[in-house]
Amino acid sequence: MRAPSPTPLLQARAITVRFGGLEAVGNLDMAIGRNAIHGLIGPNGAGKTTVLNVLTGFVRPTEGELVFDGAEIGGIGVNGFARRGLARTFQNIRLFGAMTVLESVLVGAHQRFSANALSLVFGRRAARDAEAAMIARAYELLAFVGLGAEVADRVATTLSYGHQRRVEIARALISSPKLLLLDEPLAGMNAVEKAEIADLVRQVRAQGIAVLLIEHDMQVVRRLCDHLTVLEYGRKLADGPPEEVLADPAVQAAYLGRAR
Amino acid sequence: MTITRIAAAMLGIGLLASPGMARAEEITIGFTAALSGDFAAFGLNMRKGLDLAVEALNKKGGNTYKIDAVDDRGEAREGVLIAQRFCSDKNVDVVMGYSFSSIALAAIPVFNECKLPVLASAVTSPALSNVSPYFRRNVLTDAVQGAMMGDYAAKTLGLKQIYVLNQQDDYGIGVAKAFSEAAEKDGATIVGTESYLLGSKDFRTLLTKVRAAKPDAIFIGGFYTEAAKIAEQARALGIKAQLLSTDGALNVELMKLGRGAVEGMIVYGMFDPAVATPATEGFLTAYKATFKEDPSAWAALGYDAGMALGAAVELAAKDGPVTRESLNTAFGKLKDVPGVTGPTTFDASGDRAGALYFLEVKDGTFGLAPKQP
Amino acid sequence: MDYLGQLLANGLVLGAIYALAAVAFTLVYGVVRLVNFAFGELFMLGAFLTASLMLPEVRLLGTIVPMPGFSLPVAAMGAITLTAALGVLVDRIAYRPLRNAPRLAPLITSIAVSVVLQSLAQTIWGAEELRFPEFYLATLPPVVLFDSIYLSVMDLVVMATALAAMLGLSAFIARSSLGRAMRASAEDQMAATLVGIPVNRVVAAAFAIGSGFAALAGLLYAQTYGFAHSSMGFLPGLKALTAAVLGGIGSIPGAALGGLILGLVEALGSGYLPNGTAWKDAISFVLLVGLLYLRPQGLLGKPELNSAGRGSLLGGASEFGAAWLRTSFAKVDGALARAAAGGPRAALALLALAILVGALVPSDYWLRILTMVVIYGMLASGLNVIVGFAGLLDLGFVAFWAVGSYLTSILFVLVLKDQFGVAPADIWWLLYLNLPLAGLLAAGFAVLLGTPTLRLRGDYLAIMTLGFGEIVRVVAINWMDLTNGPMGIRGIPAPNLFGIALGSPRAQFFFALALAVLVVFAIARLVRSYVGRAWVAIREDEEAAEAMGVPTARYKLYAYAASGFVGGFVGVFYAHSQQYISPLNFSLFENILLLMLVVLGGLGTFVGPFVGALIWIVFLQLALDLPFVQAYPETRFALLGVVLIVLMVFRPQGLAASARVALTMPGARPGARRVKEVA
Repeated sequence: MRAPSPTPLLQARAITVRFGGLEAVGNLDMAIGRNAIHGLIGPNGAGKTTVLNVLTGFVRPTEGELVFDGAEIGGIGVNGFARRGLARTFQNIRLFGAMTVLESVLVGAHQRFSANALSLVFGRRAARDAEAAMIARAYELLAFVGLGAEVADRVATTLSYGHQRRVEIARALISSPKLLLLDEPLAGMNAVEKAEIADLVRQVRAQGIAVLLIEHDMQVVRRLCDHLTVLEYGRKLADGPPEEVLADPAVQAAYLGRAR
Repeated sequence: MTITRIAAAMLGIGLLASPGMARAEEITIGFTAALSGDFAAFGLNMRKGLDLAVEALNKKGGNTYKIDAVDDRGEAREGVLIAQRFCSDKNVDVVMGYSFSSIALAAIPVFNECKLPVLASAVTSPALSNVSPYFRRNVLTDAVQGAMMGDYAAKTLGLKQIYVLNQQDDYGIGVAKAFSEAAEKDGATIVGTESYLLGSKDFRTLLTKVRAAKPDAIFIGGFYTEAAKIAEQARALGIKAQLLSTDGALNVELMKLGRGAVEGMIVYGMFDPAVATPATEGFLTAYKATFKEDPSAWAALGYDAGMALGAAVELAAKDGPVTRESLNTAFGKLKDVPGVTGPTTFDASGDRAGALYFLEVKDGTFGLAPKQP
Repeated sequence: MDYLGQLLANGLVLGAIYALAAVAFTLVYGVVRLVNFAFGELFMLGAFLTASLMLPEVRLLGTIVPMPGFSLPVAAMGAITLTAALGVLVDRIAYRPLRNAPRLAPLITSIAVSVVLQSLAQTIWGAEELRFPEFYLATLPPVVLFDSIYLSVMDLVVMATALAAMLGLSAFIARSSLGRAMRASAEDQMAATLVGIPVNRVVAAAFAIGSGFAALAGLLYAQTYGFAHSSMGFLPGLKALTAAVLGGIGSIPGAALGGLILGLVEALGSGYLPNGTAWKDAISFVLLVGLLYLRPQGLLGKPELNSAGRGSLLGGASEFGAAWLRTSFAKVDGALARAAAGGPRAALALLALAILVGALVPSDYWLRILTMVVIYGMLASGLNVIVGFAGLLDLGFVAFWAVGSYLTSILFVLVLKDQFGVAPADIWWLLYLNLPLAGLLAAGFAVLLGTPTLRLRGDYLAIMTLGFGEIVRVVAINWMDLTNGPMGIRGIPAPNLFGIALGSPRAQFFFALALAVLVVFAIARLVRSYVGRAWVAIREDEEAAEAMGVPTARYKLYAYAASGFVGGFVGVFYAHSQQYISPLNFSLFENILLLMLVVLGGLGTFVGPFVGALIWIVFLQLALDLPFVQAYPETRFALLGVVLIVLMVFRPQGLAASARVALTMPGARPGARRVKEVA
């Protein structure tokens, strides 16, 4: 056994989600450590995205509780989750249609602004400085996710698929989250791009941000994650370090079983 | 032609006829009223009457008259714009028409600025009395007419229990208030008052309420469209009370719409198609020949307004060129201009003195009511 | 008891008619997610066609035309068939080209179609009401229940017909293959296309059936109240839409239930409340607002339908149009876009142009028109904050405008002048105080109205705000102690600065222009900041915005407040510029008009509202001089409607669509030049 880590960053306790009569997630316990790259895997329809939606406030669990960074969270609205430091991307990219890349990224920084309406209308110095600082930060982050400054003024939805994913990550990072939740960030990418994104995820972690990752590519998962949770039919099948988990016959059966 | 005029108006050239030039021979009438939209009927009727008058005046020779018609669609925002349009067009010598008191009220400050005389024919709000030295109308105010009807109902007809309905606008409220006060003074009891929005179709509920009060008369302070429906729905609900209404209901359409249900309804107005005088005779014949229908009270007032204008122009032309100012003065001096709604004289407040006829619907036409005050 | 009984009977008849028309809205909405405002006019046509077919002769376009003189059932079948065909035609011309267009475009064309049909009907049948011909059953003596409840035989026929039509439709939807295809399309249009359902044919069928129902409702209505008239469809159309939303739009039993409830509530409300008939329209909207607050999807509706609706508010284009037309629109657009990209310099140039025009135009008439353009441009800019930037379709904006106008008028005239005898000229400064004061009051009002709408999306939101707007108007008419009712308030002083009267058309134009600068500047500053980004994010993807930490509910309220502030602010000037206001100034049509201006010009742009206002108002004034408009005044609006449809079909994203607004603070970026990306 590894040494007991300090309290985990996020703890989900006995989470159950039912949609009508259907149980999407059943009695799930899960802990995401500080500074972890935590993989959430499972066959299609296992409830992975539902779990991610619970962890970001999109879905209210029917039962159970969430403790994040030492405090219980719940009933604070989706934006409350974001404000506490949980930032996410979406499985099917959801960038804002009519916005440029820079503007989209700046939406992620929403909570960092505080100027009131009057100081905006009168163009107070403090408001302008805050804006300038965030714009500078946005450029930094665009560079960080591997995009050049030249994309900043393009309408985000006209970028290539891979670039849009990167914009989404930059948009999530600019809020300085404690936990970044990525929903299939590698989907539809080639091997080179996958390696780049995996590298990016490591760099994120290096900045002290924990990552939760939903992914299907077992190769990447094995190399990238330091902890895995496996779901099947909404229930936890296995939990632990990747080698251990992926060697679990039950996990293999679940994947093979589905593969038929 | 039109485009040139617009361009000219934009550039401000071409239309600046110098004030000294004698141009009395052509009088341009700016006519505005609701000519489209929900309440177009009054305006179109006035227009027909005025058209007929203009035709007659032009036939007479001498001065010629033409009409620049602008539709206000019953929309308040148009009031100021249209007024300014007439003011800025130096050819316009006088403004006529107006379906809604509210739109006339909105326009008056602009007319005051450019000193353009207005002779309105269908706006009856007391708020328009004394409103401007340039504003006149040849229709009695609803305060006067309502009071006369109230007297008539209580004294002449001897009605005791009256239920008052009115359309919820300046006209309906004004006329109902005047009616109620006069009737109560003469000993009748107003057993209930309810208002409805102009354009309402369903009065069953309202009338269910009325029926419960068991009145012996119902006064409808509103237009013929609603009066016809109220009559029909009242009869369908088994209400047998005497129906009374206003000059707003004095329209041949009332009988087309209300058919049997309006039989016996008593209305008042300044025009009685049944009273045969030489003036009305000629008007009736000409109107029927031109428009293939009977004239309404609004058409008659529009016609008389045209005739009053003709008289004023003649008067003004005596002392030099006809200008807006001289025309306005002439309007003030007019005395008993004969017309189909009786003689026209304007008092200092811009209102007209006149008599009311009380008319009863009998066998599908308006006839003088058997009892007159 | 007999009183209640009669009220219930009245309510049932009315409810049956509302229910039929509600089916039209619900059916089409279910299949294409379009609120087809034109059903009100198809309702009217159903009445006119039936009446015409029943008469021996009718006066059409001023000449007597012989008619077959059918009996009611035959004429009704004919009218329903004709109206159904017309409905399909309308869909083909005005809506189908816009299936993938921004979602407000078909809504605007549907309003334009209404305007055209109504004006045409008035041209054809005239401005007077047409008496609905007698039918044998209508001449029978009424049925008297319990000695006191009167129902005509035709009332019973109306109810029976409504019931039969509803049951027939339900059976059709459940059993026939077309009906099943309709249901499938309603569930998921994409999937329906994939499994090979011919969506266009299904949509056409929905329009045909919907229009038929509207016509049936219209002819029953006309028969019940004894007349047909070109404007008869507007209010019943609105009520039917309310009924459809009340019952849950998309649900046929819901439409039936909604119609009945509305009919009964109206009858009981106007029967038991003091002066209830005058308040009747407010009663149904209060009911609607209350119900939507508690149950956003309506009584029997599916919660999923309370969603933002298909497609983007802005993106997408028409699949229609000649090449040269597209190029010319693109040129206009390009010029406007370049102007917008020019930033403050372009704005200053535009302002200089406006000042030049204001100084040089010699005609007071054109100055008044231009003042009107500026006023409507400002109001539309206010509406644009909520619709164009935050993406919330608001049909009640006119209420904020009314609040501003009434505040200043009541203070100046009803209180200070009438109560205290203060001459308006002595307190000229109050106007300047009232501007921000009315803005704040209207903003507070907007937040109050906005709060219950937070759970609603898309078209539901639109209907609820429409309800608010109508409630405010009915209150303005009926609360005479406060507003002087329909008599309006006159004698509002013209603007005045340090004793210098600013009443002349030129002074007013410059006054308006100065206010417009303030309004646009303030809106631009807010939009080009994190606030504007939050609004646009909400418009584009509310959930994603929320996930990025944007408290969307609060920012929607901010949008309402900002929009309300502008409405109140401009309303003050409007009152002083008009010098007379009455409830007539604040009709629903004004709100629809403002919405059209914004869409016409381009949603979510700063110039769009002014471009829209310029086109609209100048067109209407120029059209006045056309000879045939002088002869047939009602064709002016028909012409306007046609222009609108053409503009929308060819250019649904608005004229200035590419004059996209940058959402970062000017001057906060390190010398980065914007590179435009035309989507």
